[in-house]
Amino acid sequence: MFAALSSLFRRLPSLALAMLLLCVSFAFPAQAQPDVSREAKLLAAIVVKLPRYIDWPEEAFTDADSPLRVCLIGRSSVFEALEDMNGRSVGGRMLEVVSGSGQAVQGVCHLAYVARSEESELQRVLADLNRGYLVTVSDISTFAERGGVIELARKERRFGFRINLASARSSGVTISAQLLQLAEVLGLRVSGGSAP
Amino acid sequence: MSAFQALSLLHRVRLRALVCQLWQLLLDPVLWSVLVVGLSLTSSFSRAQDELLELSLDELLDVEVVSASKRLESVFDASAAVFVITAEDIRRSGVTSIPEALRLAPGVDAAQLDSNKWALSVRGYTQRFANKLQVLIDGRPVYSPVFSGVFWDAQDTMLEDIERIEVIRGPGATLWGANAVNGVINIITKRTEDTQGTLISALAGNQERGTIAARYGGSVGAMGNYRVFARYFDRAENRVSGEDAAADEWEQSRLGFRLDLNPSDRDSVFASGELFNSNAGETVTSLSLTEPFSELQPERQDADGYNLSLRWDRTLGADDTLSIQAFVDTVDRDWQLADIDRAAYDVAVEYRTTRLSNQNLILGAGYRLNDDRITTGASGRVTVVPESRQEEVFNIFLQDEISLAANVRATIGSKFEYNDFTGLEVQPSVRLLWQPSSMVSLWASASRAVRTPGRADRDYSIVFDVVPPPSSDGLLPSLPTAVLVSGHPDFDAEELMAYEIGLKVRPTANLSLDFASFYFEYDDIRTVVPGGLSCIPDVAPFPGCLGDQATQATEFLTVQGNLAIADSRGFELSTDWRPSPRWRLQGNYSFFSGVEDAREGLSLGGSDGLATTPRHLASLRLGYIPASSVEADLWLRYVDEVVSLTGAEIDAYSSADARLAWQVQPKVELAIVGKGLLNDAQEQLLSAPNDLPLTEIRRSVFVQLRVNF
Repeated sequence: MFAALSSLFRRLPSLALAMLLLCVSFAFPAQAQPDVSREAKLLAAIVVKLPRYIDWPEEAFTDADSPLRVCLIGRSSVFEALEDMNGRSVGGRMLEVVSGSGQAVQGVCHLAYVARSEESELQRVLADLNRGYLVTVSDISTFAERGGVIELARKERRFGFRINLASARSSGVTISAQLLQLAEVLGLRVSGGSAP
Repeated sequence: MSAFQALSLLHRVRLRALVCQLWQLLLDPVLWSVLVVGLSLTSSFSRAQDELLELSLDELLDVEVVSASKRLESVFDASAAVFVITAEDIRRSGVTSIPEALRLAPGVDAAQLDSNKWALSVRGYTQRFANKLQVLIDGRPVYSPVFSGVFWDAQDTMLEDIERIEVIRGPGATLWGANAVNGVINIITKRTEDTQGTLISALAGNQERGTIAARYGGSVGAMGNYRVFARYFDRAENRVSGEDAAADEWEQSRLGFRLDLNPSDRDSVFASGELFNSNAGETVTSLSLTEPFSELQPERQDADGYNLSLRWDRTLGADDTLSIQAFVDTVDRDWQLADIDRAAYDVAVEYRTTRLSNQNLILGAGYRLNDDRITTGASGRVTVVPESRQEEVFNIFLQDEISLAANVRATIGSKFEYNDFTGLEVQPSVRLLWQPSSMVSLWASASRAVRTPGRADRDYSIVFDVVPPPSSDGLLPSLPTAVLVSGHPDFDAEELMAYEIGLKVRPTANLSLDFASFYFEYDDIRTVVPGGLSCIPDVAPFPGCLGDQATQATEFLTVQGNLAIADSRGFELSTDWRPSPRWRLQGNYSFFSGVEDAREGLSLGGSDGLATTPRHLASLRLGYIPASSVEADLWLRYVDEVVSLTGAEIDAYSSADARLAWQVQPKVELAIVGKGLLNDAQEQLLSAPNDLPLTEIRRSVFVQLRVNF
């Protein structure tokens, strides 16, 4: 016990530094403006552009005026950026941003954004989301290999697309050739090739 | 007892927030300036948002962001044998420690010696004091320069906050420096943005007497995020073969934090720190010059320490990034063999540029100071001269990745490292990657790496064993003999030339196959050379002393040298298949074969070749999601027979781990885990310097609860 205490005292200068760092973090008001990082905004901007390049069959919507729903799975600052875009018009439909866990959003979503916070439970989350007309999107590393449809992959300092075409097919949507050309397509003979 | 300690630990976390408020008063001026900068940057962010929405999709892909971690981009595109253990793998395998998690990767041999000790290596040289592996946690090397290896009992963190573990088989010395000989293990924790909110994880079972971990993640506005965590565990003892208790119960507490800030579009700052205390029991072989010469005895091994890292990444322009990282790491170890107080101070600078066409150039430089004080432990078996040393290590490195054609890439580079013991060490590597199609990736490499000497190679001397007196023939007195192994001041670096070739195939999006094969050629490998016999106490030179009544024992001195060569070869095959979203199948197989040959003296790698590493290692994992809130996982492993350095043979064994988890509510997960289910207890390897008895690791069954809110 005494040994532990004395060693603690010897370390006080460094401990103080550690405390300082911790406190700098505590010092910022937690209820500060819900501002998000540039990266989150960039991801959100990319996600809102995506529906233009995806064809959902008509039965995916109740009628011609029904909104295009983007569901948010997990916890991420990308969501705050996406929620700011609620109500915008995307490809002739109104964008509706909904939060909820995998089960809660069954049957109402067209696009599901999976936060990196869900990485350790990805298979379970994707098993929940594996149904018709739902396109899964995430910036989780190897999301496409792990069964997701569209991965926003970090490449050096930029984002790129990686697309699992088998997952896209099983969800019943068509991804435009334009988007596939921008992407690394998994499981295809010609890389960056056009839609089959 | 354990629950109480856990509570007090959590209490301390709350206390910390209080202490922080006091600190804030002191820090006001500093904070003001930081806040002002932060707010002014915030307004520039809002402007950026509308601009982003105006851009087209391909323009958005051209927008740059700061990427703080220098993570490996994709296993498929790497010209090395890389395996990534994901956070999902760690959670679903039910592992409770880092060494156990490493068994998920092919080519990694991790034999558990008792509750708190492991012999862990990659591609051979598995020993408790394995010294050919570089291990980093968030870029901070955690191997101990004392024996050039890792004390695994001091390496732990909140397992839920590990994002991934990259296991690189084969040398990585060009980037990671000395000791990255047989492999590199990169443990990367999650970014704080991904660990927001509160997580409480608790588990209890027969061997896992109690673990409680809590983490809180919050944000500092637009600037970034942080998390703090506390973790405590208490593990029960195992059993010594043929006896009952191994007295190896183990408790550890750890407090830590991580902070990620983006003060501007071009900068990202990372800070992390940990404070830990580990109290481990062990049964040790206690040696003496009188009857009974050797006996088992319970002992304690305690370690406590802290570490603090800071990193700053800055984007200099369209093509350049600069990063500076500094850390301090200290450990006090109170051990029956030696009391070790050590600290490492390290600063490294790295510059990356894509200015040159089709090239990705990395330049780096680093300085490290190792400062230690090692004194004889309670057993008196180890003496260290000098007791204190300050050792400096300087390095510079460059690596260039060149695109030779659309689908061919070469990576060349070298590290130049200067250390006080062996001087300049040059560690170059050449790698080639060819991707004939998006499904196939072929690579080959040749590299040189060294294992620089630790204090154990130069300044130590250890009583390795006491040989009881032979039955007397009546002519000479029958005396016990102490076998002493001594370091050598001119001990040189051990050296490896490695040749590797690999093939990665991704026939469909849901199936991948990875094959890697290697040929390693070692030189200047550690040996012991027999010296002379002497008398204890030193009354006269041997054998003159034998007639003297005062002589109690003889001492057989051996000295370490670099007189062995070795070669090893093998391959690893791994596959990952997801036939449907509900099923996942992962298989690994590793083959290893090696020979060590001492030109003079005795080989320490074992006379039977490098037989501490199993020839065959196989692992099969099956994951199934029967219903949307249920997960079932099974993990089967086969480990071939091995021969411990002291000659003890360990039979081949199989083991099965299983986990069944139920998501009671979206935020609550309940799991039952069984480890080592096939046997009551399993012996895995005998510790090398003959200081521990052979211990059987008991079957472990526990219940785990995780709440995330």
